Amino acid sequence: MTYSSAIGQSLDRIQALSAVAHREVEAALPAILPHGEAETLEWLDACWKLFSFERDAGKVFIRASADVEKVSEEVLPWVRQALKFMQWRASWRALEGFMTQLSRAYGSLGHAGEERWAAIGFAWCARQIESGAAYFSTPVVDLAGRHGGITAIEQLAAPAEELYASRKLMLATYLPGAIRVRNLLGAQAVMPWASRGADIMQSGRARGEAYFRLESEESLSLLLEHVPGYRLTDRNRLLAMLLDVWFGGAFDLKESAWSPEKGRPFIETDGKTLYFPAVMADREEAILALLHTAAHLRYRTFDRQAMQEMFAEAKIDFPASGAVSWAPLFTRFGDDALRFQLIFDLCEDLRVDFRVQADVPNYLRRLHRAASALGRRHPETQTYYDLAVRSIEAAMAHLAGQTLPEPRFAPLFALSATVADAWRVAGRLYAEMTLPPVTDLEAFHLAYLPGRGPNATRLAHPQEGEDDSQQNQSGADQQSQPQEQGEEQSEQPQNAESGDQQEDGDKKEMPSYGDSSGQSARASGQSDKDQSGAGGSDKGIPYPEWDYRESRYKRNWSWVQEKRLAESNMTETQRLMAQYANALKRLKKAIQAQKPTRAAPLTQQLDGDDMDLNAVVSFVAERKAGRSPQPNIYKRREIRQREVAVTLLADMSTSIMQHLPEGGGRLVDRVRAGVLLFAESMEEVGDAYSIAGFCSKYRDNVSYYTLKGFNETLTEDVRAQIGGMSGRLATRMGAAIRHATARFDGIESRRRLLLLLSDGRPEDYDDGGDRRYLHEDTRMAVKEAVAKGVHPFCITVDTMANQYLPQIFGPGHYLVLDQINSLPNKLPEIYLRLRR
Amino acid sequence: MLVISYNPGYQTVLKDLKPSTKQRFIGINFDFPSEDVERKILVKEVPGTSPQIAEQLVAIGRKARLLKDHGLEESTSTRALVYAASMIGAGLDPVSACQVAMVNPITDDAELADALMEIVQAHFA
Repeated sequence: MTYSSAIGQSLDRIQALSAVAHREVEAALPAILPHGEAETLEWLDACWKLFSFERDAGKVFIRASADVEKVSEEVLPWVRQALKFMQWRASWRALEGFMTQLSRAYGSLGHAGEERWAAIGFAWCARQIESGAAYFSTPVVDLAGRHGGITAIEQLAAPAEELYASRKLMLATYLPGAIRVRNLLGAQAVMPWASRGADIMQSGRARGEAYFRLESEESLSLLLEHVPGYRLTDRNRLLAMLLDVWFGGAFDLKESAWSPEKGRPFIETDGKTLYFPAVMADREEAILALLHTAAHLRYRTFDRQAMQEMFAEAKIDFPASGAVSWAPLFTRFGDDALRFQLIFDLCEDLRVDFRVQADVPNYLRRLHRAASALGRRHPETQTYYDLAVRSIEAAMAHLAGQTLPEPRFAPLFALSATVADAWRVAGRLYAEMTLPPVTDLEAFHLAYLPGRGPNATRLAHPQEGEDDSQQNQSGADQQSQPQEQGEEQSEQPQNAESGDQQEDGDKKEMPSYGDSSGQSARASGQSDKDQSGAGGSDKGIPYPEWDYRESRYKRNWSWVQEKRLAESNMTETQRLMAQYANALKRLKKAIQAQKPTRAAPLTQQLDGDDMDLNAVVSFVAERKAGRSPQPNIYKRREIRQREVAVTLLADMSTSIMQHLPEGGGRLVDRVRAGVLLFAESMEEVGDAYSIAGFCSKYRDNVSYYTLKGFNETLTEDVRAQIGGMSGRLATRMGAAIRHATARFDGIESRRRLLLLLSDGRPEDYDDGGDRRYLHEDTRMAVKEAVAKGVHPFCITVDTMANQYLPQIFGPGHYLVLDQINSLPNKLPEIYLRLRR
Repeated sequence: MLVISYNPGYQTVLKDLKPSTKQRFIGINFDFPSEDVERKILVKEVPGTSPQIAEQLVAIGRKARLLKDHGLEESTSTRALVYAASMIGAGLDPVSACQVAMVNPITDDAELADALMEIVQAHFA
């Protein structure tokens, strides 16, 4: 090819600089030449300048030129833009990004748009070259979003400009996260998100960067708060209640790691646990999803035998134990994996949904209505969606005894159908029907009816045969053990009280285990002894512990140490008192209304403990007058006996330090408030009460903190200690109950109540993972307490508690408070109710 | 013959009878009437209640009672079912009738009410 001499000279100059550059320039030259010699020379000049400025920058400029020219149909404007990069040091990455994106910028933004796009980038290059590079290396389509043009880019850049001006936030930090936030939540969400991030950035760089990468918890939760839709996070309790109502029984519910960019949210299960996303589109979808997914567990999608059968038919090995991956079932279909997965899920979901109808009236109708109403469908998978809707119609027709519009689904309506049947039906459908191929993940997600979702997202934990472990646990709990207990009696002299006895010489008659009268201990009427430092040794006071495996007590097994709480926090107490001032006022009013008015002394009695002076005078006068009056000359005061004595025993294990799922602080805050309100109310009620907390670490280290003994008064110091309550270690409940029961000795009252405030099951570090061991022991401790005339009642905030509390405390002797925020108010109310 | 009645459980933890006292009696446990009997009660108390409404109300009651462990102090009584039936008999639509007779009176806890209404709506969908 021949060139004009001027162009030839330019080429020679480039050749002299680098043979590589020359070769690249010659390749691009034909695209530039048609714009005339002047423009070509300017371009060649730019090539030389950029190449000598920075080898890589030059190369990328030259290589991209032909493409850019093709789209822009001009040369000079972008050549001049490219030259600007020479004013900044280390700018080749920015230039590389610029040149790579340039043709797309022209293509999607137009000439004017390209100019704005470049101008925004240049401003950032001037501020910080990394930010410029980050900007230009970001694909224009990403900057503009799916539907936006240059306006979207300007909107995206605006918060960054503002935060750079006010807080020196760099675009490089901001951009990748900002794009995701904008795509998820819209442009208006970017500014609040970013300015929060700028704050965090100022308090710590690493934390701030994690925030902007959307990796930190705070960033994600802020995002989730703004995702529109029905929030499941705040409705854990409702979900649990609905599962209990419709499927009877507790399911393990956990929040999944879903975040908005993972696409459509689904409730998922792995055969053991239900995982729910933070947000779903609307309430209807969320509830359908909950019922549907729970039904997979109830109707055994993960049944080991059925899965084995299915894997055998697919000629895939099924692991003998451990979690199982569904993937091999689908990967057999190669490129058609998604397509088959949709068909298979459709069949299995139909089988399960058909069964739900028997549990939840009108479920299929509800599903059908929601499915028909749903607007968003994807053209690629519309056919699947419609097929699923028709399959629901088939199920409803089957129920109504009509002929099926889709007879192929019929086998799924048999009550004996399993996931293996769904697999077979899916295989036939796959072979017979020409359903379109599926490649797009979003389309794949939108093929599912509301409430349904891909079933194979997690490794599966096969469900074992129906009659296994869960049943024999509760079954064994019911075993009656009174005889064994009786036998223990002789073998187990009252070592529970040995600590007391060592301390003070005067012994009293101790009730032994199984003594059902519960009266003997009351006779003594001793005062509440301060036991701090009591007990024979530092080891504390020994109590027996029940070992269900051997059906016997282990002597001196758990050791309880009486302690005083070292921490106290008056500020916290005052804060709580202020916060709950109104609640307390209401409580006191209620208490006053309940209180019986004190009976006036009865006068003119035939017997009594004092003379009724008026009656005596008239009696003497009558006698003197020669009459014979009735000798009713006494007055009698009702014997004042304390009606009720109560100990509030709080579980002070580590778990109370957890943050509340609904936000607003930690569980311990509610516990403190509850205990405080309880104490203040008790002052009003006038019953004898004590307050204690417990925690444990191993059998020989059970700490029992008396915050207020029966005969202590509620001092500021006690109040401050309540404010200082905190959680530590584990929950050896049986030992604590035994000790609390022993502490009732000498308290004069007709009825004694032990109110346990707990947030979880009894467990300790040394229970070897055998939950049943401490459960059984606690159950025995409760029986022992009842035998001694102390009535334990457990208040718990553990929503799973109805799995174990009925066995431990007996039905009706516990209360699950699943609204933790109500704890402070409820605690005194429950007591007032119990003592009625 | 001496007949005594007492309610073991929640309201009377402190008033439970001594085992030795209890042993001197024969004991009959009372629970909610069976579904069949409860339906008969409804139809008898509120003449004109259709068998279908009776069945639905009783089914709702059964499910609602399952929520006792979730913070309900009292669970849905047969009395409440009777009230709902008579509201329906008087022309109120079933969902509202259940809400005013069976949900609102036993809880002011929004989530509990939500769960109870789910039960009602499922049956009257």
